[in-house]
Amino acid sequence: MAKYPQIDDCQGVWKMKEVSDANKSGLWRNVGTRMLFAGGNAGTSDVIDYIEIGTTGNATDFGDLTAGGECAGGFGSHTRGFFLIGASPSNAIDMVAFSTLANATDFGDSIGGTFFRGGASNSTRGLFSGGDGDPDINVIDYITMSSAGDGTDFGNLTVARRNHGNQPSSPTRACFMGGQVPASQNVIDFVEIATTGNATDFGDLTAVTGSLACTSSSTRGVCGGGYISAKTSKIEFITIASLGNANAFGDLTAARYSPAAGSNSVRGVWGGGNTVPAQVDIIDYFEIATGGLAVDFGNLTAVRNNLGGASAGHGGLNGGK
Amino acid sequence: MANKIIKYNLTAEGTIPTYIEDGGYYPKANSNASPQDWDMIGATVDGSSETGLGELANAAAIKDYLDTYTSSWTTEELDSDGNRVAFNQTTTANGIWTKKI
Repeated sequence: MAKYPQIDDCQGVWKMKEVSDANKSGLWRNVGTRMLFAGGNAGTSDVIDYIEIGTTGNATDFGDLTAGGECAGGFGSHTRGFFLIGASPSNAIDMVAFSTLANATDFGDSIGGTFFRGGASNSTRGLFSGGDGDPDINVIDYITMSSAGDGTDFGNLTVARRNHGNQPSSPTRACFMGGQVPASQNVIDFVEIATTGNATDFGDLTAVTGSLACTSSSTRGVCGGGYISAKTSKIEFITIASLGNANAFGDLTAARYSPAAGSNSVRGVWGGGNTVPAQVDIIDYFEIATGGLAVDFGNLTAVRNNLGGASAGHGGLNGGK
Repeated sequence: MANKIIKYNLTAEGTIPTYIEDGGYYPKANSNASPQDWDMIGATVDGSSETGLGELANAAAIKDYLDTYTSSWTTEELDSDGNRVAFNQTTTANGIWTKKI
């Protein structure tokens, strides 16, 4: 299929049949505007709430996870959101349909019995990365989001680590930014999603940062919040197609670690987190193309950190296929 | 069957060396340029004679090495006073040593 206009790139010429086909198959870019926030609060929360990214306002209850979980590192396809659940090492994967307010259902098991993993996806594959352990986990495994089942080994991160939450992706590439070992790291790795194999070094964050959350347009990856030597509000960006170091890009409305993040490929949204000592219900957003200071969006239905995020329009889904 | 627990860098291209089966553990900053600016711990593939930046011949050697740069590390866990719990080098070294075959 030839390239047709993306929500973050409307230039070019396209065939009307391809636009029609994309609409009929539910792949047109405006379809994915919902973001879910799931679990958190030291694994005691089974709450799933949602927002419509293109608007502003408070989150609304969506349903419940199958069990309370520290879900850091969720991801989404055009139609489904996925979260690892469990307050202690667990490999259970929960799934929800973005379009239907309902409780999550069991999808399968990931490879590693761990938590505090990262997560990234394109429209077909979802990747879980790293995790907590002694030593921390280097494993990347993937699921095919259209078919319930267990995770399959993908390869290894260059640095075994945990606490890197939601991660950015383009339709072809996933990046893994920051994390902790438990010392915070500045590493950025990447993999080509369609091709299994070990991760490769991409570049460095401007500072070692763990417990951050990231999202993307189809071309730009952004990370926000986290823990350096203390909570941080900083936002950085990378250009996903070009290896290199991250650049400063702005600030969240409040410094915090362990939020969740997602996007509709134009607007990036961060929700929840811990401002030390309190968990918060803050949701804020900024435009991925321009950066700057984030703006208040509204509040989650409950305060929590280490929650998972899954959005139906992020950059990994913005490729026309 | 035999492998080694070693210290190593990524390749100049930023990839994991082919002789590493299971690595990326506990990076220690060095003075090299990126992407070779971290010394990491890993287990080599079975049968490899590669020793990278040096072999760590037993769990005690891993702990001694970790002690040189992780003494200030803390975990996210909080103790009864609300302070972060210190990183446990012994537990970690034993965990890495389980990757020795």
